[in-house]
Amino acid sequence: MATAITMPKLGLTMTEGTVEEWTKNVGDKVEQGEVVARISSEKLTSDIEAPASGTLLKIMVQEGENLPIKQNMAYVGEEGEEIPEGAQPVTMPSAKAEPEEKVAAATTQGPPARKPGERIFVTPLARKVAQEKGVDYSLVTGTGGNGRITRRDVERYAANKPTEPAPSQTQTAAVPQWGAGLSGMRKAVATNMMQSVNTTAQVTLQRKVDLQALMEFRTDIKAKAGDLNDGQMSINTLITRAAILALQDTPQMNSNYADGKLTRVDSVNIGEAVGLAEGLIVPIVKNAQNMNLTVLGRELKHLADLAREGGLTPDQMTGGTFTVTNMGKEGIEYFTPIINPPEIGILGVGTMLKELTLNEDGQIGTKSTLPLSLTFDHQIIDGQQAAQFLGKIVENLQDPYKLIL
Amino acid sequence: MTKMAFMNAINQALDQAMEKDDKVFLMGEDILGGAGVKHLEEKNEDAWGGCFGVTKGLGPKYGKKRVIDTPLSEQSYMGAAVGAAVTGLRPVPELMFSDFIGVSFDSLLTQGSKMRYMFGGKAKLPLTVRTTVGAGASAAAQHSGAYYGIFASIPGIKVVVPSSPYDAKGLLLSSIEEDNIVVFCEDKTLYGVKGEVPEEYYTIPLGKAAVKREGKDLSIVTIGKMVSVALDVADKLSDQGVDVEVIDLRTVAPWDEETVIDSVKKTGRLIVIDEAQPHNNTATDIAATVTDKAFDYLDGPIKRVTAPNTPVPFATNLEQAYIPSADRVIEEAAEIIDDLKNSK
Repeated sequence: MATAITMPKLGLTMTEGTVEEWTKNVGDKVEQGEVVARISSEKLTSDIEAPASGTLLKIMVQEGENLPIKQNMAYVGEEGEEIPEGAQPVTMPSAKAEPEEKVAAATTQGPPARKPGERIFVTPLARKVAQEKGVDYSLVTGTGGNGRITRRDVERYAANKPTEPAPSQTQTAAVPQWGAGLSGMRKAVATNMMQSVNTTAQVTLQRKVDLQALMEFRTDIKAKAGDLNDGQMSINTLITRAAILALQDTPQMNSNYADGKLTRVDSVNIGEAVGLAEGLIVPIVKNAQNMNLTVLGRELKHLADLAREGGLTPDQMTGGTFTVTNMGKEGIEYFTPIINPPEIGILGVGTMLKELTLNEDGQIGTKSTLPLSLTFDHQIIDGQQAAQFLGKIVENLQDPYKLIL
Repeated sequence: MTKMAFMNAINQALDQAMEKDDKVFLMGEDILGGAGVKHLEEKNEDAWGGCFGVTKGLGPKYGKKRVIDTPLSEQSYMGAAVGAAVTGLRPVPELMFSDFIGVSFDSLLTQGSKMRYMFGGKAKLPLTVRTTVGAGASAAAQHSGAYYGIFASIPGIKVVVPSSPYDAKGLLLSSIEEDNIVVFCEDKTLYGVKGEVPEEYYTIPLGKAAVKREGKDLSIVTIGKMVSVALDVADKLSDQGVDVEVIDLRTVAPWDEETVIDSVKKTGRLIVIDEAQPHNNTATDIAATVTDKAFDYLDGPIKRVTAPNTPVPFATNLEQAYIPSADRVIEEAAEIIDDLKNSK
């Protein structure tokens, strides 16, 4: 009877192999133990030896083709001998192959090959560790006895977990872990920030604003208008106003993106990040596009005061379309603010800087500049659009009379 | 420290216990040797020192009143020992083979083990039964059992199974000091094993296990001569990257739950090696207790490696196959070992 040459299992994880080369052709005489082919798996290559002496009767898998393990790839036998139809391989032919594992183990890469509803065997310890690490153990391949999932399997899985989990995984496994062990505002911030970095493609652009004109504008207005008590000439109000105007000019930036749905918002609802001891809070100025500098300054101040007193209503903290966050007081120049979802952009304001200048007459002078950092969601906005949007904010600040139009 | 054989460590312990406390006395078959045989008595009182020679030299030193040769009647001398213990002496009878417990069990089981409880704690039973256990000496089925588990299932009896000369001496002295019945099980195949033993009197607490080797991947809990098998397993698996912890129970009743459970909490995996037969034995008790008290720490089933469910074979080759070996442990517990190999 003709003897089958089968694809060997060269390791725990091998499920199929590739025939690299046949060193014998159909009709060639082969001795038992003689190399007839070379195969490769994802990890290694190996010679395939003839399991019996005779003639190579048939080659069923061509060079470059794949074959699952233990499937027949060729037959050796007496010349003219019948090849059994659909015969199962009898033995593992290659002497170089590892002895067959006593316990069937599934592949370690990718989700385990289980049928829907198939019972999962997991040790008590592995289940406990999975819970602690927020790992959905149904996604883990077991390498223990009876294919059961062990502590080491869970730990290996947790260590190699893909950074961008599939959406279904995000919903079922990862979300409940965000903010674990934290409480109150800290937990809310943690959840929000984790959701942000996990669901957006954040890019930060950074650009410097020349403040010369804005400083002159402020001095001019202050001289003409006398006492201004509503913060209308504070740098923060001016920047927020510059951002509001830029958002009106770039409506695609004034959007929300959540749960696979992009919503363009007509009103500009601008958030102002306020740092408190317990955490970060972002009160929202609704319909900010209709506010002049006085109303805007007053509103920003009012909401910031409310935030510090803990008096914000939920309505005053939701519905934002863009956020401004200012780290100038802390001396920070450029940074990479994180988007406050479902918004798609955030402007980071740095500290005012002094720079030396050389005018056309060769005179040395100084000017003030301001570093700005714009983070945007690259899922929705491309770099060029975002750069143009940031450019508009810069223009509005460098040509400050636009701010009072 | 002196290097001495296991049996000499026991002899020294008996000697020191008798020297320290004149209430301690020995009884047994041929432990004095030649007693009552005129021509032997004339030549040498200390002809034999028991079947294995463990008590050699104690007869001449302490005399016939404290090293008593008994008739071939375990029933009578075990009854005498229980009576002596409950009336204030500290008898140390020798039961030549634990297999012979059947003929003397009434004294220990029906009377001795219950007296302290039934007399409301007023009676003390400072009685240490020395006996031999274990296969491997081609002594056939009636002389080779490892019956420590039978004694361990009886409330009121403590059971000690030493694995080294050092432990044998310290644990025997603790046993003799103990006010309850102790069955002290000496593996006859360990009698010639040598080890460092301090010359002075010392005790090792009963009920406290010894961690013979620390490891973090897998715990092996075992008893008596199986400790060396466990250490052998640890050496073999260490070559394949598996870090094995070996615990010597030392005392089978009570056994040290704390040490065993702490180890399982660390490693998540447990093998128990027990030379007794597989059913209702110490290994089963340990496995059940750990499953109950440390379930959430288990990373695989608990594997028990024991003798088969047969009497001990006489044929040397069969007897060797009967006793758990390192290779058998590795094979029978493969389910919780294989995935640890070279996994780091």
